Amino acid sequence: MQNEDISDGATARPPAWQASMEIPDDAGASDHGHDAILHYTSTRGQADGRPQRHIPDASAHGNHAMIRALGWLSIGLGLAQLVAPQGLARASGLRGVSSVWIRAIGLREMACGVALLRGETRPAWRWSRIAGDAMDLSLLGVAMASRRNARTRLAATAAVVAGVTAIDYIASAQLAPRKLSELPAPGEAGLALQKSVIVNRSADDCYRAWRDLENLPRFMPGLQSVQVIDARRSRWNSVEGVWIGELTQERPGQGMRWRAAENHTETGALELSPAPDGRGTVVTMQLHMQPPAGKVGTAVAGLFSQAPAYQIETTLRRFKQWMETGEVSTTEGQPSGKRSFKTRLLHKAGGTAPAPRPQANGGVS
Amino acid sequence: MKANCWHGKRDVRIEQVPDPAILNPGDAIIKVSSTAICGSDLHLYNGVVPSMEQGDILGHEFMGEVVETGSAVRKLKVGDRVVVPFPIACGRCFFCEQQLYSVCENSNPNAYMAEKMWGHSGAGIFGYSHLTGGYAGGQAEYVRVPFADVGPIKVPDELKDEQVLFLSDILPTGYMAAEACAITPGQVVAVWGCGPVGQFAIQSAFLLGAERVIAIDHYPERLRMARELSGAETLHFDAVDVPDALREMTGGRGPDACIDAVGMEAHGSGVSYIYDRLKQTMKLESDRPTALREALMACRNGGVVSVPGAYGGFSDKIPFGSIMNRSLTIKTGQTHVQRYMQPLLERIQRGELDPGAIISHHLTLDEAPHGYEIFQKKQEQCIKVVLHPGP
Repeated sequence: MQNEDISDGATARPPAWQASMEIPDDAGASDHGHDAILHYTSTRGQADGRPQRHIPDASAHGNHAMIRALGWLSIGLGLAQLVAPQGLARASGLRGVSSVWIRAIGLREMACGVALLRGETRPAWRWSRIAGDAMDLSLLGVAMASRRNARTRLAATAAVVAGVTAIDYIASAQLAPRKLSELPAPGEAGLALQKSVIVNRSADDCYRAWRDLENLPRFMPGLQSVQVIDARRSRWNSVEGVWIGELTQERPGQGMRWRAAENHTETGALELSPAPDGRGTVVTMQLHMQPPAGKVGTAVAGLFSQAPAYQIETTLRRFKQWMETGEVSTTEGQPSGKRSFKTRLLHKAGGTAPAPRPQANGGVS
Repeated sequence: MKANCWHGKRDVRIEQVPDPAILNPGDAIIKVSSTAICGSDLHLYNGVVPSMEQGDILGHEFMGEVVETGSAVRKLKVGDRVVVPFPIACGRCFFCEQQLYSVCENSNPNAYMAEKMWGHSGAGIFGYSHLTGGYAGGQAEYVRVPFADVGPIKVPDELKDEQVLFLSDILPTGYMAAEACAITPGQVVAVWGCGPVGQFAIQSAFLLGAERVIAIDHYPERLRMARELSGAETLHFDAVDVPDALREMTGGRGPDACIDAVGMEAHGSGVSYIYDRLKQTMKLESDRPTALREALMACRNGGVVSVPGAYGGFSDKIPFGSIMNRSLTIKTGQTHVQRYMQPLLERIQRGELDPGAIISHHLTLDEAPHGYEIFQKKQEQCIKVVLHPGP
């Protein structure tokens, strides 16, 4: 993946906004921390300075080394089943299984291996491997019930097959289509999320409204207040706790970056660019998180990424509502008839987090 | 206050609920004088619209008097008598600027839900499921109206409620459906469904220059109304084969435009109807597009099929090959009501339209459950029910 990303040469160029007004960063975190989020690679160049996430082409997916290893493993295993079915059966603890069956399974195994090596990404192929693993496991289970078989060996075989199944599953997940808004920037680990919305106001209006950080609680879910400490730092009070936010870059009318001052692994960015034909401003928000446990941590965080994705989406939606209409649409606090227990539960757990209470006409002019 | 609340399939109840409050600066509170049960409320009543929750207040056709306004409301004053359009529109977004009010980008706080279902979200709608915002509806004594400067239209005192109430939904809906047909003089328009929207579509088609309108239904009182009040030729679909009859009546060519004023719970006959009914019951298909399929197949080559009927999700066996090979145009959409209110109000004032004539039942708000029942079962020759919350 990395190779292909670099090959288009665009990453070698400095991001368009490096020429802009940058706050000197004496904390020294610019090398990895917040800069890591935005690695714009655009095949059309960056003349307009618009953020453009690298869009992977058909060949850029997943962990190639692992998938190649899996492919060769499958071919080797299949070959062994084809050439020496009975020897393999004895080794795995099976007795009295027809060679024809084992050879058939071997053929399937080899076909899957070849498909993997050829870079076959169709879901049918991906899932056929897992279905095959499941079949093997259930065959082993059936064999286990018979006294004729060597159960200790069978159990060991089952453990190995279960391990292979797990690897297959991870490989499949890596091959699965990903949301563009959740792809990490090229060459970056961590969880990166990006969403855009078009706001029917000028980029300057959007910038001013956002740069006045005390406005943020109006549209950021869960944020209760922001107190500005100095030109760079501010104290954020949210339902999850209090932290100090730090602006690391600001470019009036174009965007800004920030990070959590005590936890440099979490950074955010706002990008503003004019929408085509003067139809408002494309507002792009990014969050980048570096989970503590590296790649595994990233995978785990990805599983639970609903929350940050919801945060960004809701923030942008409400920002747009507030900028365009001066209020944030809500149905919280309206009457209803008697709710069922299930409905009340759903209402609490569901995505309909309470919108902030209105403040007289929002202060946008 | 009293409100008509949804409690499940064919279960609506009048309940005591808290009064609505101003939640946003652009809100107004309306004291409801008249509110109607809409055909699309029956889809909620029958439990085929997803994301309804117990206790939801129903109703999206209503009018009344302004009793309270938020700090940002400029055009409306306490005491104004207004009709409120069913889609909630902010008036400031890209789509509102183009008068596409029913796809307003800002009025649906549950847009994320609608995006999952439809790809993109439309506007919020009063009393019409949580997909469209979960807004409390107007079948109540009071209702909160967001973006009060954008939607509600003031109506003159000399016009009675029943003359202007339907500006909130079904009159503009029938009108927009006919307008979408791009009728030129001499054309023939076929309308599936002679309910309230069908009646207004027929009348609007004539107003816009249609020479003949052929109306299709199987309730005798509706067909009679289509003939006598709206001036249509009629087809009873249990008695005649509709596609065959339409061919014969149009010299083999087919109607120039077809309007599906039925929607997702069409009645019909034959194998495809039974197929849809089964699939919808088993939740394998959300909509029952019997009328839509027939309209698509019957329309003349290069004609327009206009769909004001309400659909919720997914329809099977839509003859797309017919649409493509025969150059059909499909026009549809929740009505951009705000766009039509003023011109239609003027037509009413000039006496070109008499919307009140379709009302078959005036009931009190307390009688809403009965109103739903007779409207659903088409008992007592029910065509349109208007509820009066007042004393």
